[in-house]
Amino acid sequence: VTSPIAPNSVVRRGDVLWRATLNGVLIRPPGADEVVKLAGTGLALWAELEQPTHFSDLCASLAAGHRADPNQIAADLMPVIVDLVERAVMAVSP
Amino acid sequence: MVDAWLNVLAGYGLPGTLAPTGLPTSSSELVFAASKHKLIGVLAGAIADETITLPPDDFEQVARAHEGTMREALLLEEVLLEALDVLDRAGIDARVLKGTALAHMVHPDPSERCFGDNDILVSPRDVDPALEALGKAGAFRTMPPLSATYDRRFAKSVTLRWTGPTELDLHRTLAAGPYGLLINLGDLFRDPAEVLLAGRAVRTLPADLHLLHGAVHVALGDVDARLGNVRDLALLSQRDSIDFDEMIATAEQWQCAAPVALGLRRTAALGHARTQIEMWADDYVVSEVDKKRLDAYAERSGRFRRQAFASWQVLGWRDRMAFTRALLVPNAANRAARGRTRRSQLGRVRPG
Repeated sequence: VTSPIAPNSVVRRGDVLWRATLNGVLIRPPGADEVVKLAGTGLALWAELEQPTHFSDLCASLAAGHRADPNQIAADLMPVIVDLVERAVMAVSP
Repeated sequence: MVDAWLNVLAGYGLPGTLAPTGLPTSSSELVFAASKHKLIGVLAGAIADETITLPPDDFEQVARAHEGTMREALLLEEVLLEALDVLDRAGIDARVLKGTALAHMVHPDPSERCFGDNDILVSPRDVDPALEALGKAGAFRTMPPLSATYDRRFAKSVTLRWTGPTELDLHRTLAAGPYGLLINLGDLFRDPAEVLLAGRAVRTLPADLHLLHGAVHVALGDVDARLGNVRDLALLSQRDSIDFDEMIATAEQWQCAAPVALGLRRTAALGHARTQIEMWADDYVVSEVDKKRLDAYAERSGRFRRQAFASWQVLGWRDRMAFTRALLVPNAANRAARGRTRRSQLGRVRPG
């Protein structure tokens, strides 16, 4: 997968407030006016990213959990991760 | 039927309890009742664990209610961190009390614990500086003080409005009325515990003092204790790290053993295996002095007045004069906020 974050580790930021709900996870980044909601499989994504995880490993893990094609997972996940990084919910490290 | 089911839900996961099963009433009624008792998070947890299985419509109703309370909790926690920053910059040592602290310290998952406000404790000497610092940061009190010194000498807490609709109770002590005045406030600042909020270590009471506070709150707070608060107590009672003999000694030094015991007795409704501290509470014999003090908290009608008279009896002479004056002749701003004149105020404060 070609992307600015593909070779990097992704991790959820430690300075956010969050809660698990029955439909996903709610996250409040520092200083944000709105809560970010990760619905459905977002909770699994959130759980996976408690520790820094290489994007390819993340995709492989989620693909195994959902019996899906890792490339398809990567294509679907990429814009989500980029958006969450921009919204200060997640961080990327080399 | 609903009450019995809510008791089972409040005991969910405690040793020796039965698991809650299907709903005893419509989901809308149950969501209302569970929310009233701060148990919507426990209900959501039992659903997430698949202990309770609901039809899709009922599931969505519970999920929506839980999400609403969790959004509120996140907003409150953000505001709490802002308030703690303000106090820290003012050099004020503070402790987080009740919901927020217990959610992260005691409950298996903070998503289980609902709360509707923030509670922060400061020492009496810091009450006025804290109010000033928070006021400069945009907080405002809902009611002017009764007197210039009442907040730091006699008040349980001062209620502030903060960012948006959130409420912040700045506590001087842990209970209203005589028992709140009897607590040795210096004890509350020893050996702080910490909880992590957004990666930040936030100071709170150690577990034994949370247990004392929780018991006093259940016994003396609302006339009808909320089951979520009772669950807090039952969970705290399970903690091996608490030295219960030392905790009871502290309660006795504070002359608060009676309300602590009465609060802990309420956990019997949850049906779990009684712990050492709960068995102590079951066997506790309330003295005649405590029976009179406890009467001040018994019913809603006339509660403030009865607590005022019971408080007066535990104060020293100098404090009695200041306390009496504050109640009989409150500051003009306080009277105006309550729509009272000096004459009507004097007529309201009578024994009985």
